[in-house]
Amino acid sequence: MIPLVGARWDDAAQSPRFGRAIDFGLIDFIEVNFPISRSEDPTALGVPLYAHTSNNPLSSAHGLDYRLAQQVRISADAAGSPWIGEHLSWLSPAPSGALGYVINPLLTREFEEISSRNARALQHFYQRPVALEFGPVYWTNEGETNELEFLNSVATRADCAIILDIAHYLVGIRNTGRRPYSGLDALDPSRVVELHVAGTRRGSDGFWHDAHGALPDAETLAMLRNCLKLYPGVRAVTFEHDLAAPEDAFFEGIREIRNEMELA
Amino acid sequence: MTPLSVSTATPEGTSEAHRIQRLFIELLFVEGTREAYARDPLAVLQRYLLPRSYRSVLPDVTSAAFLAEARGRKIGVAREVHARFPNTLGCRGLCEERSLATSALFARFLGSSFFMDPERALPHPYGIGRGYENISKFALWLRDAEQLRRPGCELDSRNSLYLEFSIYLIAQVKHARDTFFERFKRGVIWRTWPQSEAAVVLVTPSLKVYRLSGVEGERLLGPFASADLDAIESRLPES
Repeated sequence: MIPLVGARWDDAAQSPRFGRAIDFGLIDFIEVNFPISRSEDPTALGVPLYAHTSNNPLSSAHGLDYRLAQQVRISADAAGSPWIGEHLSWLSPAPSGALGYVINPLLTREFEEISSRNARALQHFYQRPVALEFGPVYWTNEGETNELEFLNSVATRADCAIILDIAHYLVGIRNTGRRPYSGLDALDPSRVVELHVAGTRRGSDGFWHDAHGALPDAETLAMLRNCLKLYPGVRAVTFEHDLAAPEDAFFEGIREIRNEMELA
Repeated sequence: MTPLSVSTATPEGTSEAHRIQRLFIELLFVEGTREAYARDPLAVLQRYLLPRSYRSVLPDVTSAAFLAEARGRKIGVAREVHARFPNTLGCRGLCEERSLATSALFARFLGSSFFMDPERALPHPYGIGRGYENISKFALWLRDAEQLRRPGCELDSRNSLYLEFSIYLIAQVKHARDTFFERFKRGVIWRTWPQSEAAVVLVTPSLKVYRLSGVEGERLLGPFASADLDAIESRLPES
């Protein structure tokens, strides 16, 4: 089965370029990042909606705040989203709220158990598969499990699917000096249902960062091609691109993704 | 010495998992906590009621890698805040997000309960609760830190902050799921001089700014009470 190609949608200002991409046959679905405002209706674009959020901290010792999950469930049910994308993350030191971008949890057995428990509970609440994603890594501790083993272990224990974010993975191996493709065999291929593709950038301090304003580089695109072979169960490939970046770049990125998928 | 974060959560009554989660997040954002941990990790672990064994799962907080992650996160918050308060921050010489991210003022904000405690923030307009955006956290913190509600405060700071914050609040009315923001549907007000009824500033939904004195101004204070920026508190019951 050939995976569908989609793009991440964060707010209505993106809809015009998404509409044009749909007209050109470039996008098969939109991945909507919740929460969204009451006046936004991404379903008006007329393509399937895949629900996603980075505001449920599945690894939090405080458990989950279900206000956002309720909003996601309603939209996912209405759209028939095949799964709901979630993050193994912390967001704040408190039972609710977020300080900014997702924070990777410490990769301990304790948080593996907490993450599994929260993921199971959320999947039960949604009555729909949950697909788990992990954020970009900057450091590792010697001798401990790596983020891919952690992700796979939680997904297995909670019986969840997996989203492999290729940009996050590349940022992690570049920052920690690991070889390309190392650790990818830790992921159960039957659970990997979606790949995320985005640009990366190197900061002035030499460290790499996820960069949705940039286009995927050659290494990212080659990794996409190879991951489609490693994980034949992938059903969706999602391009993540900032509204602030030019529309031409948005179309170029999707075309490059489609080209790589044809070569896979 | 930069203080550790002003945490409203007490260690007692929480599990080790809660406490290590809090400590790690503070190491990312709070300079005082990071400096203290770098100097004496066991003392900080003890303060957070955590066993020494947790030292092996925490990163080297002096490493370039950890500092890169911490820096990236602070810049992300600074970007969000600077985009909303460019004039307020520009008056303080913080004309770019990077200068804000490395400033002493921002370090104080990140170490405050206004940043860490979601109950200190206003509700998120999209109906998911408090503490999910840094705009109201920063505005309410700066109002408190610089005592901008007191007579004799720095008026330019007060008016600049309130003007930029009112623009944010009014912009949420149309799209908000949370009914908290309905109180701003006719605009936002504040007294020109704190605690004085001599003159009132009104920002309308179309972002016109009026200064009304005498009877005209006094007339607004009653009907606009819930939209008065001096009265907005983070723990107001949601309407």
